[in-house]
Amino acid sequence: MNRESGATKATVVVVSGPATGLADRLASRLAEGGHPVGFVSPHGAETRAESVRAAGGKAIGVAAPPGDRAALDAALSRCAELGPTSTVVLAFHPASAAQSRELMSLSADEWDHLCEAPIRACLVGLQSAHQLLSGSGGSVVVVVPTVALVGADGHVTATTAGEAQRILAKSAARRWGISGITVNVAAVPLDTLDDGAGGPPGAAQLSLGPPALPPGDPAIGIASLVDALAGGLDGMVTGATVCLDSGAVMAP
Amino acid sequence: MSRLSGKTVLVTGAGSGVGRGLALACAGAGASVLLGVRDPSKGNEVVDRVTERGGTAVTVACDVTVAGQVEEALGLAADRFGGIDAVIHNAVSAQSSQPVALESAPLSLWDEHARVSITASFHIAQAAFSHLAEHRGTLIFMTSPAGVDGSEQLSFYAAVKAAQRGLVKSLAREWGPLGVRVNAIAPLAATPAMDRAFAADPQLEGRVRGLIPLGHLGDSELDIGPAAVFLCEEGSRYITGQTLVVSGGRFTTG
Repeated sequence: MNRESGATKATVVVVSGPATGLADRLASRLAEGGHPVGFVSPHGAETRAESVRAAGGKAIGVAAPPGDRAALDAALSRCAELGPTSTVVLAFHPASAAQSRELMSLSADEWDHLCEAPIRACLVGLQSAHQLLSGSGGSVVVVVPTVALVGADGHVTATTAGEAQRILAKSAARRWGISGITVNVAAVPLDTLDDGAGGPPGAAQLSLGPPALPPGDPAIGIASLVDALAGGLDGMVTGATVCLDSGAVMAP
Repeated sequence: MSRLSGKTVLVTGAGSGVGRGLALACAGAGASVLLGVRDPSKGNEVVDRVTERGGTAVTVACDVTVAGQVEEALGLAADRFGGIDAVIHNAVSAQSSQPVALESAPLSLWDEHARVSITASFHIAQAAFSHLAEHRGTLIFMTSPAGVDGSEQLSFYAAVKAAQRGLVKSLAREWGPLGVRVNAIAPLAATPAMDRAFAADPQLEGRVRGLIPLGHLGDSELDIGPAAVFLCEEGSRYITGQTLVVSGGRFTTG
């Protein structure tokens, strides 16, 4: 696997869907920590990469629509120009992911957009990440909302998609371990997926009860998880779900 | 009085395998059972068996991937039996038991799995809601232990079954205040597909049995059916949002 060595850190590629808030914060955090960072998202990736470069970091931004395998393969190849990739983070969520929608209010098209498209995008993301890492090994981290673990009134699309993504990750972990590729899941508060970090908790988060610790930005937790995996944790941990929610869910 | 006497239950994919066992078990418990099958002739054997035993069952054409057919099937059940108390979505893709290479399988194969298990779950839940709310009924999704543990070989099947578990958890919270319960059953059962696998590899059955603490694969009617009967009856009225794993102890992951 692509271990961290000396002062040179391996590239981390952050791939997101329309909700880019968490992905943006994560990429910035990783860049601050010394990682070259690849941004892949439907819109604005290069702009965000520019801001990282302006701050002295190394970054490449590439636009790729979620679920487009050819575009994603090309984007990951482009990001690999930054150097060996240790980790691919996949965070596919619709814009305004935390918006509450009851099942009976959804049209078939909305169901597809809010639920099934993110699952399909995650599957394609896993396939593309496998292609990138299959020679060298490495880690994949799939980001899901914590409501996927426990359910939440008004969030059937997020929980349905999140559980499917989580078990896709588990299946990939079982299948790819022998190839030196680990796949783990980071579960984060639904409110933090888009641009809600630091704001008041939304209804979904409130339904889970107060966290045991002061709420923090899960981007910091994911960045720490990425470093821990690359630092040797990936020798033992795969298929795991890590709740980065300050102790609200405490599951599984 | 039988446990489901006076109740009406719709079971999708009820022509064979686990769905057949669920239909027989519910009918045996006194329910009027509607067998939702793509080809109604596939339900005739089950209807005959139920009728022989003195129960009531009818088949209805129901391709669960077609929202209109789901609505028609539920409407028929409501008209014929005066309402619907439980809907059990059991149908799965014909590809569900085929091994999948997650890293290279085509999206078209994923879409086939998803249509029957995810999109159809959405259709069924929407179409069933008004009927179930009227009777304070229950919606049950037949998922799988693979939807909890993941699966190296059946990754697409595992993922769509996990999606149903996710749906259950939120829908139970959403519909609980309206008196509708939503649960899942994750069975490990002998199926025609498994029988074929055992025939192809005679050693396989022994290996599988060796992994099950209770020593045998579940019988769809006698081992899995009672779990569905329980979730349909009044005795489970305080249970919602759960996945009941019925696997002879094979799967113990929370």
